[in-house]
Amino acid sequence: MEPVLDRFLPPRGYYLALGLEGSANKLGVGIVKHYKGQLSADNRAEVLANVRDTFNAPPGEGFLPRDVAKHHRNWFVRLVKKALEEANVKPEDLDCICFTQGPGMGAPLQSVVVGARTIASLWSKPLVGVNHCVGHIEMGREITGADNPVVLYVSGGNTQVIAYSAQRYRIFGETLDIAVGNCLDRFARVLKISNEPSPGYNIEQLAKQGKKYVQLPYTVKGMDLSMSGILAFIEEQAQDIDQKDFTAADLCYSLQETLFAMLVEITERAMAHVNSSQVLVVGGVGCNERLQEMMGVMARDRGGSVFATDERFCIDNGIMIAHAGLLGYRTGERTPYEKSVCTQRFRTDEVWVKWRA
Amino acid sequence: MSLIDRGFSVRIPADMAELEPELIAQGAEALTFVVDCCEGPYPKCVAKYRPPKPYRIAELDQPLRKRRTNAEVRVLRKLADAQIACPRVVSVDDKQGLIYMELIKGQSLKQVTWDASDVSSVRPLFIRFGELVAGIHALNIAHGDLTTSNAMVDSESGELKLIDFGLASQSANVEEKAVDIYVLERAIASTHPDSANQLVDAVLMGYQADPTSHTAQVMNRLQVVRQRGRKRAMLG
Repeated sequence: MEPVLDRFLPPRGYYLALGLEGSANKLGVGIVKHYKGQLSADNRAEVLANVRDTFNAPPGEGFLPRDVAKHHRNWFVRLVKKALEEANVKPEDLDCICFTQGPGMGAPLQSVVVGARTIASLWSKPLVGVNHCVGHIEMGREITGADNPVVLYVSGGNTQVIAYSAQRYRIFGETLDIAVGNCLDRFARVLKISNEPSPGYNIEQLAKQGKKYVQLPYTVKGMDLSMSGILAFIEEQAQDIDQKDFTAADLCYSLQETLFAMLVEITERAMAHVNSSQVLVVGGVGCNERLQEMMGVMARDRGGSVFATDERFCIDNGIMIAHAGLLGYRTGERTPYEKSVCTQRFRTDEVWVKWRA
Repeated sequence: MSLIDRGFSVRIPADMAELEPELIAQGAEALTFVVDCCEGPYPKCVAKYRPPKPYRIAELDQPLRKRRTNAEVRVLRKLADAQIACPRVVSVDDKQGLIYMELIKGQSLKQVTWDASDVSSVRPLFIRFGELVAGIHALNIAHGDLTTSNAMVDSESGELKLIDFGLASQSANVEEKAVDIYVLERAIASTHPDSANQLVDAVLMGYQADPTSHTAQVMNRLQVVRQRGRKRAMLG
């Protein structure tokens, strides 16, 4: 059934939405424009602004929720102003204010919700709460033009293989313990690698110098996988590394090769299961070029192709929240103030996807 | 070769190519063919081939394929000794990652369930599914990839048989068995969303049918595994 998308179309013939993201250590503000009708190759969403500021912890440390929340509160007004300026949009032109309702870290999520409520009441605009994961998926589809792909969502907090069916993004496979980004970040802390621009990026660079493969556990369970055992094992290998016959770069290389091979394998299993040849990689770890390369080799072997985006859209951002929120807004979704509390746990498959056929 | 026509770029071993293989499934790690074997008890059998995966580095890929081929054969032989309904092994070539096994004629439980007019007609099959899983768990084997695609309804006997032990592990503990069931629950929920609850109930009923087995322990652990899966923080 075709969804009804334009019941709320303003007289000017297009929509504008502002999106606010702050579920982890990035604060992002984006402004998106949709014209009427179903989005398609000839009717793409327009990115008017996509600004971001990242809180980084010192090397050897992870970021703490209270420090991140403070960072988001500090930057909120500046980033919203900057986004409006870049987009050349006035607050009164907006149709709605979209915000990340979850999943994520409690304190950072809350600080952004308070900001969202404030500007929504200041400018008398409706609020639309957005599932962070659905934001990633919808933005990935829009940017790459992938119509109905199997989605691998890989970030600091999430590792899921997802496919769309009957108005929901259904989770076919996921991590049984820690997320792949978390595994990489924590290993970066063991090696005391810098957290700027991101620990995963620095591991990726170091892995390029690695030559020797160190055997690690390989733990795939059907379409699910487990990574905490691998982390514990490699942490042990990294002790007294100066006296070993392999280097830190070798360990980064071995860790990436192992984790990514597992990710590609479960993605391929899901593709075989739902009979799809398209794959879309989203989330912060999706920026990793080695992962994209491996995924591409697998997809081509199946007569298909891989879709991925760059850091502007892979890494948490405001535009994806604006975009997914606006899709919801167009089908009548609104989040009243009393329902605008955020939640740390909000599964991808809880969202009823009204905007897709 | 028909594989190339379908856009796949996999080469198959030369000795297998002589058996006029016909591709029936391309899974994530293996290609499954029906081949003609004139000798032996099975005139037609299944060749399961694990090709090298070009996305994996060779140091990781080769040992993994060999390990999985050998592990699968060991599991299948153990199951056959215990008279569990699964394909019988005909011959093995672990260097090339090849297993020849009995062909089960019929449809997958997934297809049978999709085609069924109502849930109650397939309920006995799902109860039987649970019993079979309890049977393999009693041998301390975890299947590793339980889905409705990996259970076949034999068109000759009507019997339900488990296939694809490619990710099976031996000496499975309570945790692995609970994860086995959890993976199946989730597979049913995503493949048969409309009737998932009834189907899972039937599986769990069959699973717990044998009161002498240690399935109660696994069921307790299943609660823990479910909590972990559903309530993990899932930070951005």
